[in-house]
Amino acid sequence: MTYLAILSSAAFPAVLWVLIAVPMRWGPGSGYGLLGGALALGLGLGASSLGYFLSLIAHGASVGWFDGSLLLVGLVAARAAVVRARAAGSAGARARAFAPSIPVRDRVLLLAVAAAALSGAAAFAANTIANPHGEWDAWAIWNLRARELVRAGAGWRTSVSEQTVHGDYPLLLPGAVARLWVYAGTESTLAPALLAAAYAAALVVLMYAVLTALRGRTQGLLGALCLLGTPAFLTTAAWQYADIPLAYYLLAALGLLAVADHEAEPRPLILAWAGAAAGLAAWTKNEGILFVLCLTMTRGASALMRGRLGWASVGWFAAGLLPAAAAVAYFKLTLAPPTYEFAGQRGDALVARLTDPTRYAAIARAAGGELVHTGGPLLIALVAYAVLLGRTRDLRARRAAGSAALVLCLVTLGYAGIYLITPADLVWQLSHSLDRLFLQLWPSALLVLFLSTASPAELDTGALSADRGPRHHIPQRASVASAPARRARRSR
Amino acid sequence: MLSQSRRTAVALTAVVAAALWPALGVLVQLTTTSGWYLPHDDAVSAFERRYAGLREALRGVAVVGHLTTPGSTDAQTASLYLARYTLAPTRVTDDAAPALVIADGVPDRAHVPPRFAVRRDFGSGLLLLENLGERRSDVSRDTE
Repeated sequence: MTYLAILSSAAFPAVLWVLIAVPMRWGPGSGYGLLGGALALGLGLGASSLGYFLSLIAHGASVGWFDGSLLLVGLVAARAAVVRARAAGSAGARARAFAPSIPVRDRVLLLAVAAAALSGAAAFAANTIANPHGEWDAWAIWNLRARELVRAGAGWRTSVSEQTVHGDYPLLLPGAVARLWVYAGTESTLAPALLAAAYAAALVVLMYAVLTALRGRTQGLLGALCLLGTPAFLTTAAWQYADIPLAYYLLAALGLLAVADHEAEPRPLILAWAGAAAGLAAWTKNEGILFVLCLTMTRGASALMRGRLGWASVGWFAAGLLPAAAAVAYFKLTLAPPTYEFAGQRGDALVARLTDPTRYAAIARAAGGELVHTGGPLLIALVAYAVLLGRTRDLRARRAAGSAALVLCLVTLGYAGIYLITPADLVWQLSHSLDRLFLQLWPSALLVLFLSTASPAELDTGALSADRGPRHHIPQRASVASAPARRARRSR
Repeated sequence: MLSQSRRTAVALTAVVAAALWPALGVLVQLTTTSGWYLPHDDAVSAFERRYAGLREALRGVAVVGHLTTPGSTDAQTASLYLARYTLAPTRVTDDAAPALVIADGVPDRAHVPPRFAVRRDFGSGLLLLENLGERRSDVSRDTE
């Protein structure tokens, strides 16, 4: 049965990989191979959770039948994608265009990433051995919900509708864990631990892959290294909380939109996968719903201001968003207990909190302290890096970074707004949640930083991201990359 | 003024050093902790083992109450949440109103509050009580 659980967990990412990599030609050797793999892993696990939830709604607890049907549809779509890709021409042409040579600087960085990854893996193992059930929120919220889904059988609706701690949170993580337990036939603590490891690893690889695709290998390696060098990431990864999966989906959505913005020609499928990632963020935690609202507002307003609101793009993004958004809407409208931050709030109490200056000061103080604590020496080093290297001359990357930064600012304001109106004790809530809110946004903030700063290779050669992989895929801009530099790159 | 290549080198060195510092800390901590890689008992697993009999006894029961045990607030909260995690899908409420109530940390039966009868004693202070009387939400004080 354990083999069945492993096989079932691998099936969704495998099908997703074909669906992502084949139509977009993001296979191995394309320079986008790792991006396709990292996306397939996270989106596949999210899809497996959605599939489990749908199977509960449709057929009680018979997950196998529903998973089988979904996988069959996925396989048919994957087969069609392969056939279409073959008809369109070989993907090998792109693979050959990627220059595999690695400069010394990147080799050193690669070694540093490997050392940090090794240390991170050891920290993960030590934490998991010490706490196989995860930390407090894992057994008080996430794994508890997974047990309710598995153990309650036909009564799962009543079970998840009870007013418990964060009973209103969506079910991505509990659903994914419960599904593994159903296949394994046992509630092994290994299942949530493996999921936590998969999301943490996928997050690091995704960071590397997005930055490498957009800004070159050096920035990619630095992004991955900074994530692995964040103490809060090293400890929280093994806690089996939903914050790392949420951080993954935020990074996936923003990263894919940055890739879409960076492309010379429109790639509707990238927008669809970005929508899927945003939808899965909403299926992970309430903060993900806030993220989707901020993302759609920012993108919509930006497109309107530029007078380029392409309805086709909106449609593709919405098509990706729809499955998870529908599940969230169904869960929130028919099953979830009310969210305590909003439920039963009296107008006068709300106004009193909103007009209390001490709450603003407390939130600002705590946020500043957390930024210093979470960032630590790394934050100082990153500021120094940005100052010493300056901003990139890649206008598309800067625009993508600006767009992502705006979303992150709005989400941060949203978090501050929730703290302002919360009926819970503010000091207690800040001390128990702020560190994880920072961690949710931290990888995306790193993405923004490394998208917007100049890469060492760019400064060396005066060209844009000379070590970038599939450079024919993201054409250099004549205005910023000099002709001699382009010739030098071609001859390398 | 530093040249561009030196500025790049300084920036890269700063980022790499700052990023590797926590990794070094982890490795130092692990090398000084003997047997960290060996499986050992954790608090949640120990709690689950202690509640295994109670879980069997409550199979099919929808709701059970929970009497707060003496001790710090954190310990009381942890006990309640661990009971919820262990006994799911049985709903564990933070009061003594339901017909069946868990009492944990009771030194002996003499400390069982009035209007409750011991249905089963699982040892080490863990009791399953029957609520014989009226609804009382403040019985926790009686156990202290």
